[in-house]
Amino acid sequence: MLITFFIYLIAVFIIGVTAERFISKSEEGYFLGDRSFGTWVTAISAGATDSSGWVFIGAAGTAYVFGASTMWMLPGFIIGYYLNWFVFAPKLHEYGVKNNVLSLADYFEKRYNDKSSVLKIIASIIIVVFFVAYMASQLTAAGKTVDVLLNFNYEMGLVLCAAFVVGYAVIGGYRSVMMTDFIQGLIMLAILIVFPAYMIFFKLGGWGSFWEQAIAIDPLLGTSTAGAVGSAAIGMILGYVLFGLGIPGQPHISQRFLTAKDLKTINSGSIIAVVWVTVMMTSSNLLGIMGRIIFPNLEDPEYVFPTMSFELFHPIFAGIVLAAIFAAIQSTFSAQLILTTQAIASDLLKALTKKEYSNEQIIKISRITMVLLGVIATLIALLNIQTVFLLVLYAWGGLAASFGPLLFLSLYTNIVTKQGAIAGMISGTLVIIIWVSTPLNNYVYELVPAFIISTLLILIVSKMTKKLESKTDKIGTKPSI
Amino acid sequence: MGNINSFIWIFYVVIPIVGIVITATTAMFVKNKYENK
Repeated sequence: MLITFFIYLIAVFIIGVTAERFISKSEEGYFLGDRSFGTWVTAISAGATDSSGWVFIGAAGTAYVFGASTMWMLPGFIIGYYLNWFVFAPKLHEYGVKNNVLSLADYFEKRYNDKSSVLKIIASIIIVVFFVAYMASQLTAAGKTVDVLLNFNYEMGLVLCAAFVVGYAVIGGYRSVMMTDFIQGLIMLAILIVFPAYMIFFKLGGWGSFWEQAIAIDPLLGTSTAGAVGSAAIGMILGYVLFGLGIPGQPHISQRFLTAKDLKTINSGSIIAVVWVTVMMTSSNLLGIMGRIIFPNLEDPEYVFPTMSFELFHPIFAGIVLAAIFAAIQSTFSAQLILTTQAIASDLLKALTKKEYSNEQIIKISRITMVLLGVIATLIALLNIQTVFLLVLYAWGGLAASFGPLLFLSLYTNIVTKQGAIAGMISGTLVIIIWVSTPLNNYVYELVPAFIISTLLILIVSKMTKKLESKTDKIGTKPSI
Repeated sequence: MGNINSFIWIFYVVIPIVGIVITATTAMFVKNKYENK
């Protein structure tokens, strides 16, 4: 098992490092891979980046406990992906290419002709704060995974994960992240198709028998609300469905739209992306339920998938499963690492110093920043700093509410002012933090109030400040879709 | 098979197929628009 796992690590490292040969020695090359990515790489890397270790650990664990009812997440994710790829992506891509936009923060600055760079600074700070916490949590998941599966030292596993990713990302920049994400995504996809299909049809007697066994263990596994009734059931269903609507506006996904080769790439990529999320959500759910049938008394349901592969399969296959879990963790970690680096070493640096930097300077500063970020995320994970991990609870909703409504309004209307944009970003983050920290969260999923308040504040503040705004850079010609 | 609730078919078969078909149809429609330009 160890050999298979190390083959995976070394192969990914080599792919990552060699990516450096194919990029120009410029900021656009380092942070956007020269905007050269085709359909498959764009779609699979977007999916792999979005699907963290949570797919194999958290989602499977939730299905282990709550069964089929967690599938309510799927329609929400399909709608979220659909909107992201057809509504947000084409316009963002077109505007990005036309105006040489380097990141989501850079987009907001250029869209609102913000000479003060306040928009860029606020957007970058939101990205840095949430992503550093996210990165540390991914490393923690990596440490736990090798601890459970390989009986490896937890700290060692965590450092190993960070070192490999930082190692190739420092050298190959965004292209290395994209190419490794692509390979990691294919590994995840293969495992998530083969494993559940094999188990259901060859080990558990087929689809009907699988459900009969699950319902015999716990009848609630086969129900649509896991026993919840009335308002509790409605709240649960809405929470699951709305979860997926947080996809549009996530900076690490939006970046894929800026770096796609052309609009046709994005259009074809939409199908692959929706197939991807359907397989991810369906398979992780089935993995949890089949784990409940085979190991009904697991102490920690989150480790149902590693436990199954470890207990039931040959060590070589268990090693591939471990590689797939690591792939999910590393692909998310690497995307967040490169984006956080860009937010600090390019966006914040330029906005705060108001200076121009040569390509060589930016790349050098970026590489140093990336190593430091890797060290910081590793230290947070090693020292188990709980206040930072608390931020992960807010990260998904915070990023979606800060950027989603503003991105939509900025792409499709000219009614938003710079002040309105600032109000929308800040209120999105604050409402999420306040809502999640109060009992209100038990009644309404946090994205609902955050989206509503952020949108309202964007519109109200924009209306109030419209006359003050000297001149807003309007989106050029109507995108050709 | 008869014991399986109908929503299980909706969750695991209908929603995935409908989602993929709607996406593919939209992509085809958008592609035609690109080509007709």
